[in-house]
Amino acid sequence: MPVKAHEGPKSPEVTMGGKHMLTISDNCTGCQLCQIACSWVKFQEFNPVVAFIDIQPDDAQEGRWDARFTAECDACGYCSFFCHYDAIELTRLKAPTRS
Amino acid sequence: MNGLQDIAIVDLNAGSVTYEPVTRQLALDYIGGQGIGSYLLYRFVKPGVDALSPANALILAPGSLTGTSIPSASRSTFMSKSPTDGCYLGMSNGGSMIQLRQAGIDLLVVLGRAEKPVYLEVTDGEVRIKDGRHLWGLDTFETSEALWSDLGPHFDVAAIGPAGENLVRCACIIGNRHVAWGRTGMGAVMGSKNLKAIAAYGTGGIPAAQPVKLLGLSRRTTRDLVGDTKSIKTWREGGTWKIYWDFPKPALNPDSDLWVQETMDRKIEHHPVACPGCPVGCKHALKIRPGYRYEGLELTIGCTFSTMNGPFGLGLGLQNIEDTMKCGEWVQRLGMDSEVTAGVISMLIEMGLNGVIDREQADRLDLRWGDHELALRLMEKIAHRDGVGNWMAEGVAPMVRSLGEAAEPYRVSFKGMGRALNAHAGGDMRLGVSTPLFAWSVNYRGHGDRHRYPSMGGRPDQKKGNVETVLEKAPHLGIPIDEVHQLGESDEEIVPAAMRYIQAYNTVAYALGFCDRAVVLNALPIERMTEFYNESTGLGVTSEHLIEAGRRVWNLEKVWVTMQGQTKADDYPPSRFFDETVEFMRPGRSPVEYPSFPRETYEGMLSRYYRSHGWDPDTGTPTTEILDRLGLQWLVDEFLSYLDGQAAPDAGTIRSEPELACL
Repeated sequence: MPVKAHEGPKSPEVTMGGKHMLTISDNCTGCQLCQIACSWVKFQEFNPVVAFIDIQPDDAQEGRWDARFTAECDACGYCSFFCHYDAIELTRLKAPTRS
Repeated sequence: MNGLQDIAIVDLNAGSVTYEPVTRQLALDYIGGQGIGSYLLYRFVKPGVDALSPANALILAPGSLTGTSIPSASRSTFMSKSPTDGCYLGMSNGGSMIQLRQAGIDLLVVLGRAEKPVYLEVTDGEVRIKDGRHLWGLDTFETSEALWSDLGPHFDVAAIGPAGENLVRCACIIGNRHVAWGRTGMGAVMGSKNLKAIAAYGTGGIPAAQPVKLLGLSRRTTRDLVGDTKSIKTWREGGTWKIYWDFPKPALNPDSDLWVQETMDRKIEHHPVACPGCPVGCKHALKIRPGYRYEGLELTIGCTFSTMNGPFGLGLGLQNIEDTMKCGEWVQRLGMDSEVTAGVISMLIEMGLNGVIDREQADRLDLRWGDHELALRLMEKIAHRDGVGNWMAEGVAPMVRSLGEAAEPYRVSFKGMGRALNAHAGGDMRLGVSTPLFAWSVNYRGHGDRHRYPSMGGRPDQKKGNVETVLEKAPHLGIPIDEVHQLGESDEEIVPAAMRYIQAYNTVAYALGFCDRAVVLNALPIERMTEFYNESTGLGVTSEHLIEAGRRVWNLEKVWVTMQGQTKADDYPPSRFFDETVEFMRPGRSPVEYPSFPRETYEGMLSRYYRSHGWDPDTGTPTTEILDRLGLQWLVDEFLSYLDGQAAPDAGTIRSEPELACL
C-alpha cells in the first residue's frame, strides 16, 4: 500500500551515532511496520506519512518496493526492530581501538 | 486521546455528507469496525429493502485497530444487504483501507443513489462526492490507475469493474488493484448507487490511548507470531498455494500443475507482499516466467488459493498454472468474486454435460472441464450480461429456479452463493463433522472464511480429537472452563455447541480488524485482544465484556437477517451433500469414497446449535429472553411485530436511531 513520497533527498543507507543502516528493498513486502514504528518513536502517533523511512512501489516490478531513509533519519534503529522481512539491516560500528 | 474517530454518512440522493462521532457507548456495546457496522446496518436498512435500490446502505468498516502497529490488524469490511438471492447479510472481509482511518474516519456509510457516476474522495476528515463519469466502463485495474494518476499514488482505492456497473450479483470490490471484498455481491450494491470507487488518504495518524504500551505489546505479539517459524515460512514462500497440500480434494484433475509446487515455482516467479502492519506476508506478487503462455503477466494477489487455484484450477479442472493465473487476473479486472463466478460456470458445465441444458441454452458453447478459454469467455459474458451470461449473472438460486427440479442436484451453494463443486472440500461435512465445515451452513453470509477458527472436530486431516482441541482452546476463545465439559463428547455434539463461542470470539476479532489466518489468531487469545483494545481506546473493558459484545453483535445480525427474510431453510448445506457419496483424493494416493451425510444427524446438530444460542430450537428464532439478556431489548418490539406479520416500516425511510445496550 503506497504512501505519499517524502520530499527531499533519500538514501538506501544512513550512518550515524555508531550505527549503519541499510535497506534491502528486494526483501521489502510493503507492510509499513517500519514506518508505523518510526512515526511513533519520533512523533508519538501511528502515521506512516511522517516517518523517516520512505516506502514506494517499484514502478519496474509489480509487488516490489523501494525503501529509503529520509534526510532526517538519525539511525535510531527502531524500524529495523519492527521489520520481520530482513529488509533493514542494522550494524553497530565498532569504535576504533588502540593498537 | 483515544482511538475513536468519526462515522461519515454520505447521502448520494442529496449530495450531502454528515459526520457523527463513534461514541464511547457505541464502542462499549458493539466494539468497533464490523460490530458497529452491524448496528448501523440495523439502523439504516429496513426489512424488505431491495438490495439494489437506493434504500439499501453500503457501509465500509475498517477494524477498530486497523492502521496501528498491532500485527495483522489490517482488515476492513464492506457491509450491506446482499443482492444474492438467498443471502441477506452482505459482509465481505478483505484487504485494507487503512487510509480511511488515517483520514480520521472510522466508518463510512453510503446511502441513496447518485444521478450520474461518482466516486468518493476521503482526505483528512472530509468526504467529497466527485464526478466519476470518466471512470465508468473501466475495469478495476484501470480505475485504480486512473485515480492514482488523478489524485496521487498514495491513495487507498476500492473500485468496481464492469460487473459491478452491470449489477451482476456476484460483483465484488477490488482494493488497490489486488485485494478483494469478494463474496456477497458488494460490487453490485456499489454499482447500484452509481458509485464507481472510494479513494482515501490521510495525514493525521491514528490516535491511541496508551501508545507506549500498545507498541510494546505489538512487538511481543509479533515475536510470538513470527516465532511459529514453520508456519511463517510456509505462508511466505507459498502463501495460499501451499495450504491445501495435506487437504483432501476431489479427483477432477489429478495431473494438474496445481498439485506440484516445483512446477508452479518453475513457471511463476513469486515474491511475498504484506498487508499493512502484518509480519506474515502471505500475499504474493506473481509473474509468469518467459517461455510459458501469458509470459510476463503480472498479478499481485491477496489469496492465491481462493482467487485462482481453488475455484478455477481445481474447480474447473485446469491443467496449467499459467492458465489458472490468467483466469484469476481476468476475474479481478472484471470485478467478480472468483469463487461464486467459478461456481456458476462449474454448474453450467455440469448441467451441460448431463443434458439438463442444451447447446442453444449455453450460447452454442462447447461445455467441458479443463478449458480456460471457455472460462474466460463465460466470465466476459457474465460481467457484461451477454446471452447465457445474463442468466448466470443472477446467481445460482435463480438459475435453479428457472430450470426446476432437474437442476437441483447440480446446485452447490451456501446462502445462495454458488461455488465450484471441486474447488475444495469447504463446507462438505461428508468428510467429517468439524466447526469450519458446519460454520459455512450456519453463518449469515454463506461460504467463506468467516468464523472458521479454530478447527474443532473430526476432519480426516486433523491430528487432534475434538475434546482435546476444545480443552486446549477454551481459555483462548474465552469459554468458561465449567462450560467446556457441557459441550458434549461426540463430534456431532461438540461442534454445534462450540459454534456459539467460536462465533463470539471471531466477531470480536473481525470487529477489531484482525486477519483470520490461524497463524495470526493462534497468537491472539481473547485476553490479548482485550489488552490491545484497551490500550487503543482506553475503555478498560474485560475480556468477558468483549465476548459478550461479540455475542450481542451476532444476535443483532441474526435479528436483522431474520427480518430481511432468512429462515431455518437457509441454514442447510446443498441437498446433494445428503444424497450423494463423494470421492476425494490426495496426489499420489488412491481416491477415498465418503458416504453421504445423514440428514437426521444434521437436523439434530442444527437444533443443538440453536439451543446453545438460546434461540428456539425448532425455528432458530432468537427469543426475547436472550435479546433482553444481551442488552438488545430496544429491538424486541420491532422484532416481535415483524414475527407477528405486522407491516414492516416503510422501506423508503431511515429508521430512527436505536437505543444503545448499556444505557
